[in-house]
Amino acid sequence: MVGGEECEGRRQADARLALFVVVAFVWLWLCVDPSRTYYGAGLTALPAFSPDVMFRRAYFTTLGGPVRFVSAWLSQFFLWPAWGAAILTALAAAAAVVTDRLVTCLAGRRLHGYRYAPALLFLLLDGHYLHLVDWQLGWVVALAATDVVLRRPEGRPAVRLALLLAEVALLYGLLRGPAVVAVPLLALGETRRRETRFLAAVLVLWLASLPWLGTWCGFDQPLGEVYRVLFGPLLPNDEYGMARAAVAGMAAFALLLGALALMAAPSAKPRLELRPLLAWAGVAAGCAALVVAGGDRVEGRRLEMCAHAERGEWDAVLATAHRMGARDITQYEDYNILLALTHTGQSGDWLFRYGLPLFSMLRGDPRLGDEETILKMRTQHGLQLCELDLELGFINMAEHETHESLETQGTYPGLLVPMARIEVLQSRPRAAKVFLRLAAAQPGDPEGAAPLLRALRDDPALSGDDEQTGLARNRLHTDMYNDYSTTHMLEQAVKEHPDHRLAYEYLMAWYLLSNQTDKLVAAIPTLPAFGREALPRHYEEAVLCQEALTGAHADLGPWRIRSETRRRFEAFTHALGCAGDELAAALRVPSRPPLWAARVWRGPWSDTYYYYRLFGTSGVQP
Amino acid sequence: MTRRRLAVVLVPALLALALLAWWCRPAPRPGRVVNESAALPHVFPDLDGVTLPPNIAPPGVRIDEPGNAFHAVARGARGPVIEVSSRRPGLVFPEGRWHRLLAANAGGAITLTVAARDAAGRWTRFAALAMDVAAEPIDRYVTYRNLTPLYNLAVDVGVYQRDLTSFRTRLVLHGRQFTDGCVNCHSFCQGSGERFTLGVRSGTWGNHTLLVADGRVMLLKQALGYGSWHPNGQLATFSVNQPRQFFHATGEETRDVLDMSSALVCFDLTQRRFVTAPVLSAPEFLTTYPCWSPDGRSLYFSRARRPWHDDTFPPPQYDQVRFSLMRVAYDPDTGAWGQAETIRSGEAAGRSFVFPRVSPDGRWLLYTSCDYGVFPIHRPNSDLGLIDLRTGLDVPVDINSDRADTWHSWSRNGRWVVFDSKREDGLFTKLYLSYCDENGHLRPPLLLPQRDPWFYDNFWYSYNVPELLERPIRVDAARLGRAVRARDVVDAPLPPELAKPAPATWRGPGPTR
Repeated sequence: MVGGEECEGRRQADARLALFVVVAFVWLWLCVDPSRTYYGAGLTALPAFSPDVMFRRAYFTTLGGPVRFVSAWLSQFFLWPAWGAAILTALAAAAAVVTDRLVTCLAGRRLHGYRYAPALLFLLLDGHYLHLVDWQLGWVVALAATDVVLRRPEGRPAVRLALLLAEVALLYGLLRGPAVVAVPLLALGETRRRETRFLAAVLVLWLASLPWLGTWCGFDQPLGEVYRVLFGPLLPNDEYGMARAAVAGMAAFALLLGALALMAAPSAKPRLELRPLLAWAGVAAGCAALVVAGGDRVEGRRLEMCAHAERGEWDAVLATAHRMGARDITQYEDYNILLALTHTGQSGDWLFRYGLPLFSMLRGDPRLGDEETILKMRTQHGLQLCELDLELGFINMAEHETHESLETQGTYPGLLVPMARIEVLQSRPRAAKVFLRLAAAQPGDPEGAAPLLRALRDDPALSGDDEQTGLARNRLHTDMYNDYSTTHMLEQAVKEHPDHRLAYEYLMAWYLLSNQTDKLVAAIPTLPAFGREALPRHYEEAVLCQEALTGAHADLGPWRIRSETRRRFEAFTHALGCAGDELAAALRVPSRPPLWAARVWRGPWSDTYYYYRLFGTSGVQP
Repeated sequence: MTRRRLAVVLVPALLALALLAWWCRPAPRPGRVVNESAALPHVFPDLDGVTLPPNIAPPGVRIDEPGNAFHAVARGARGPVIEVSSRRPGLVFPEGRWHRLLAANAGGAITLTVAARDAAGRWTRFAALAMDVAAEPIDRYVTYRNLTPLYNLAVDVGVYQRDLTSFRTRLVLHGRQFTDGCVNCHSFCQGSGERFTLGVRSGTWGNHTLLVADGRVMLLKQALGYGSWHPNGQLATFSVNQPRQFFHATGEETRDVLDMSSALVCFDLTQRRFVTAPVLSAPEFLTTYPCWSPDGRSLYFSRARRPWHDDTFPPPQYDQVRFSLMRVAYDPDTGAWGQAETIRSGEAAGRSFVFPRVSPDGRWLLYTSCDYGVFPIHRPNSDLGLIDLRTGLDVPVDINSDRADTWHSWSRNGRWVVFDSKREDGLFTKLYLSYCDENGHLRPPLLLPQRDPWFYDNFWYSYNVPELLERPIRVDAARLGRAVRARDVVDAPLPPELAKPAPATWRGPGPTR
């Protein structure tokens, strides 16, 4: 009878776990969307994968390398949301199963509720777009290996010691960090056996030797990072704080399991910890909590914008920007929004709607923050920046950027294919083939490198490829050694290619953001129409500002300022309560508004150039 | 064991065996009916006309001819005949038999005959590729740096040592061992891995120089540039540079490097101090690339008048700096320096002559020339040049390509040269081995062999600063890494008369090759 109840309880517990797994999969697939982690690789630390010998060597000669290698390979499947969700769900489910087995082994009774703890932790990390697949995989393997060893029948102490030490060494070699957690489990597990209790002491001593082991192993990252996580300041105040806390939580969890082994005597009668109905309710509540509060929506939108930008879905970038709160928009989003505005030809009309600052232009700026932030910004945007440079015709600059990104980011297909295009432009088709082969060998060949590789065999200049000919057409021809100043590069680009719309969009946006209205006004008479019937609004506003500053009418060639723009500017000056020299004085020094300018602060003009000029900020609350 | 369990074990095992047998089935070989082609086959690496060291490992050969089966026969006047077949267009020769074939034909020649089978099953045999086999072996080891084509950021830079008689490669030191550091110039004494220096740079651990001698590892506080050991092993000469990198907005090569200042210093191992002399460190000159003559009585180097007088960067005259090849006499007994004499004037020739390397027999001086500057690997027109030091005349060098050829090193017997070249694809530098005969004629070079015929197809790293070694580096990577991280540095200050030392803090990897 008892056996029947136990069997029924086990079935019900498995059914609950199955429900949890299904909900987790659907949630990960449709809500979290692992492809965002893939496209935001610079922000989420998703590793690159490469089939080349140096990549394998780097992984298989370091502690924890094998697991990280597998993790890097698995991570490439995050490009497809369903696959990514399946991988993450499988890891969470595996963590639940091995935890269940360990609890059973250590405590001598089934405690089904415990297994949800690591699974939930895994899913919470996934929901916050913290890419820790290597840790998760390592954990699963570490717990499984610990379970196997602890379940081994009694043996002679020497044999057992040899077995344990071999396992510990294997765990370090394979897993790196998670081994730190497996070892205390092993040690505590051993204390249950009187005759092998001294082995526990050996393993505890082994723990004490870890700093030495870390140094001895020669590579700085493996254990140092783990120690920083486990013994450094609790909950560090940075974006990886949660990940570190989670790792510390895992260690605590492992110790808790071990404590169970010390405290709980094996029960003769199996006991279910919860009544079935309550258990179902608990799991349902867990699922609901996961779906409602398990993900980081802001980070999700941020990464969603990255994904849209990398795929060139500019309207979707702007739509995502509309859905984000002004406070959630950071320099990463600024950059993507400017990309979207310029690519859709809207920068002249909507540049100041989104509150873009000056440093959302071509390159990173020291004002972004500390070194780490700049590097992350640069690496994340290296992929897009390289494509932008290519489109603008700055081939050498694109080459520079892509190589920096390649060094820091790794062999992402999204980086390798533009690199190949650059090599073709630089008359190095054989080097292009190397990059294309690497990209084509990635799971699924997401960037279509194989067809390009085939085309390159017969056409070393890719002259039959529209994208390539477009890039070659806009190429910059004048060398400005070490002069990457935005103004000079863009001015040269429009000088050499007067029909280059993207270069014009960026140049005029740069003039606006850097308050160079004199240059902007000077460029207007020769500004190509690009299918427009009227001057973009911000250009008109800049002209009005310039006229107010100089007191003279600007020569706009064939262009005219629309009456509604004039009326709006007059309403602004009226609200400001000044005109003539007083207005010119207020506008002369940008971003230094006089006190009385507070009359128009946050008024209906916050999406205009003159508002930006006066206050140094802009933007409409979405 | 129950029947069911037996089946569970046996069925997969049998399936695996069958799969293995299918995988290992012998590749087809040409029958009697064979079309003979007078054309040479397209193979990679290019083997026709090259001279092979008699102790070199067998190169994996990729056959760039259509076909679904391939066959090759390597034979010489003596020794074994090696036949290999494959269904894929890549052929790998067995190492043992290859070495026996080369040893038997040292000083002679071997041929490689390739045949390919088309879809209809017809075999075509191509004209034989002819290769000379030199009588003199190449030094067994080559040490080089592997890195991606870097700009400012570096996370994957390592120095490796390859055994040329096989494919064994071992790590000497990797930048990862000291927090995304950079390992750069390495210099050996008399082709021995037992006495050498290795530059290291790291934002965390500082910019220093590792010095390994007599089994001891020292970390010199100073960051040093290019080095050369005096034959007595107690004196090492280094350049102290202020290298700066800048970038071009157009053109085939984006990167460019110049030294804002440079001078030479000598490190005395016995006294552990740096010394210099006016002839080595005059501030009005840029002095770099030291190289000791084999007798230790002359120091060769490159020198150019420094045309800028302030810190404007890049200086407008960056493309007018042309280095000359110089020589200065040295008395090892007294430590006295003579007067500098010009071997080749860069100004007169309109070229920049850098990186002099004297052959161990003292007869030849191999150098690199480029249109301007100090960093030939970034100049596509860089070429190797050779001077006969007995006559002082130039010897024509026929192995140059239309892309950069530089970073050369001699073998200890003076018969082999290893150098870097971008000739293959224009981006990734690769190592080439060339035989130098008694008349100074450099024979067509062999690309560094790899076991995998497709190795270079997706290898996106560059090889640079190759150095041939007779005796290998024995200090292991972990020990060198610990020495860098130990912060236990030998603080030997540079002579005060040096103009401007290299920056003390790390600013990215600086110039890369």
